[in-house]
Amino acid sequence: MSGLARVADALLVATLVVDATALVLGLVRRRAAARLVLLVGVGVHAVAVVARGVAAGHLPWANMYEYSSALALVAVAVGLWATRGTALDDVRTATVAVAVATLGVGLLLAVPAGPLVPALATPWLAVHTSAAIVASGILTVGVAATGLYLWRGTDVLDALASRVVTLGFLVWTFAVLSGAVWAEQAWGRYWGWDPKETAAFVTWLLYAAYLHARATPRWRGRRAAWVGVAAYVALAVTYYVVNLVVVGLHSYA
Amino acid sequence: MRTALWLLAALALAATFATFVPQEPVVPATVAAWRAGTAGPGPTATWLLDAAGMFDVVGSWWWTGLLGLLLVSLTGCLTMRVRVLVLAARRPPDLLRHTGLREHAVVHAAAPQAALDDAARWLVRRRFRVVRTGDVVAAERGRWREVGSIAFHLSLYLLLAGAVVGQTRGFTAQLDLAEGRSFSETPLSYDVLDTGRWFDVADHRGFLVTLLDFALDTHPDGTAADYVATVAIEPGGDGRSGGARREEQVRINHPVRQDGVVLHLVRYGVAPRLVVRDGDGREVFRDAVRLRGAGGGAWAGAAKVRLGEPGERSQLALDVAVLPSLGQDAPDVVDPRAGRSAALPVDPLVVVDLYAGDLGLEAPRPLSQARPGWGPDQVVGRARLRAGGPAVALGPGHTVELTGVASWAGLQVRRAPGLGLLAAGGLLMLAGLAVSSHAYRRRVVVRSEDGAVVVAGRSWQRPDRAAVERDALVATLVARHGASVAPAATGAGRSPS
Repeated sequence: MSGLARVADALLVATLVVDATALVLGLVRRRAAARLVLLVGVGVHAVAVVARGVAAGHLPWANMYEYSSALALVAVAVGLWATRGTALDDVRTATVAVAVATLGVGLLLAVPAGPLVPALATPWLAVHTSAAIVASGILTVGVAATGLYLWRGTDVLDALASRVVTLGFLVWTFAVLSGAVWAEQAWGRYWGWDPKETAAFVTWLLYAAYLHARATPRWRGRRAAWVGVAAYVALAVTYYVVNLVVVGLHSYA
Repeated sequence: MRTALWLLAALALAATFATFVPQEPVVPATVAAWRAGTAGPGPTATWLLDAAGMFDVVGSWWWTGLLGLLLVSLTGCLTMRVRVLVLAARRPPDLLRHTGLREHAVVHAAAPQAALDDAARWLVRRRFRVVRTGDVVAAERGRWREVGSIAFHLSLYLLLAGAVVGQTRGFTAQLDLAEGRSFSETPLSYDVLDTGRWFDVADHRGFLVTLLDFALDTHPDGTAADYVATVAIEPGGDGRSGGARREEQVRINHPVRQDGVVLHLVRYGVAPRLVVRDGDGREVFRDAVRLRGAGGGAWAGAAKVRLGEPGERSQLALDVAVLPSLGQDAPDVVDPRAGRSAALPVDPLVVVDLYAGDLGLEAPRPLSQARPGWGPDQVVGRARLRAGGPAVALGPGHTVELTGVASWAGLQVRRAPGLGLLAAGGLLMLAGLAVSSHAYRRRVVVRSEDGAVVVAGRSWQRPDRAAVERDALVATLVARHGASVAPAATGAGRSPS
């Protein structure tokens, strides 16, 4: 393994430590300190991702290790952005908790930096996979806000969840549709009910149900929020369970 | 809306089953293993799943039923919403008749009329639709949200139409070609062909395709870098298509188009070139036998040698295998589309078994399905061969020779009408979603009342954002007119009228 790949791995472990520190600071309500440490974490993490990309010679999201890292980075960055100038530090803290878990699992799945398999060696990796990462990161902030809303019941949390999930749903839709375009080109069919496709569709349906529930009189509020939690569970299943347990065309990791 | 919610949930549940229960159209071998009891949750659970149609969820009647119900619910809802939207576009709602307004702030302006003028200008600049009367400015913005939402839902019809057109008018066929072999491409000449119900042969021009070469390029670490099937394509003989013979490379992510059909590389393998002769030295078989990856770097396949006369029971067939080299690692299923590749063997050891008897060869089925009936007692000869070696005895009365080892490529040939509809549907879906996520509907009413200017508003979505916007309007009015401001009484729902 090249020296640069080693540096990237080390920086990712450092990111885990920094983010976990920010998580603890957030839990003990040292808000300013938590935010500052998290900004450092984002900086270190970004350098780690770039180093991994240079070492591998391609966009570093071709396996679960790389994907988890990028996903955690996006989630933390979106969490920082969505809570800037608000008193919603707890949403950021909850997001960091999920991001730290994601990063931890990712490190367990570490693989050496290597070349792309032919199926992934196309610009569609930058389009489809990036969209899936960005959508998952945004929806992670969404579930943090939704979960806290279920706990605390404050409307401002519900409003934030709605705004964030609406954006995440848009990007997820783009991820699924661009995946169909890529599948048409690479596999000769735009939709084949491959387990990953089916699970991504379930996730899409449940987020659509969440947005509908928010506009349905007897469902808005807590019941809708539970639908939102179920949708995020589907997203996590789409990523972890389908990749690790089910065999399909998406088994690159 | 509540109906739609339940239907979405039911569809999600059904699709969850389709994620975890193997689906027959996708992985038939796995489903067969579940039914045979060699894999899966056991006979009782498998029987229950089978009875409920869980092995082909999207092909089941209840999936179609759910989709149908969702479509009915969607159509009913959309008809109403489109009608309201069209009416609103034809005759915009009277902004002066407002309900549900909340007072936002009271501005004590020196010149209320001038303040109203400024408020109107401010709102116009912010692209509100503004109505001005003597002492009232009423404005609304965000109708595009509904337009976007309706566009999103209409896109579902386009996607559905595109999928149905592709299903009913398209075709998908498999074509496995060894190097040097040609195939006259017409819908009637495939072994495996899946056509839509209203597929029309007249739409199909046909052409001749020859596999010139298949190459598996590898990285220094041995992983696959690229799969390249070099083909020659000659347009069909009907004179309509025109164009000369051309050479193309079919690769993963790089399909080749010809006369409205698309060639995708989906499989590959090794193909030993075998010659079998009978006791009199007559050639009874000469072909490259296509072998598939059989796990661990082994390759296996079969070929029909002699069908025999009906009832004669003297059929001959070959079972061919390439044994793996030491230290080779390869997945059980070789699938270049999923990045599961196995190296093509160099100078392999080829094992050939000759089967004789009633082998079911007359059935028009690929040998991969006919073979399970063959028994060890039907083997009449076995030979181990290396390329370039001499002919070897294959049981009593036959010899076999390995004249070379070629590769083969599996191409999917597909005509997929309806892609344009799908693309339009996808774009409309994204555009509608983007608009409806961004826009939000709200009203602002500014009126002069007892020498003061009252700012009130109502928002249908995103009340926090709308309040910030009204704050900005109030700040502008205060700055321009040097007036004092009082926050509105907090009485919820108080209307200024």
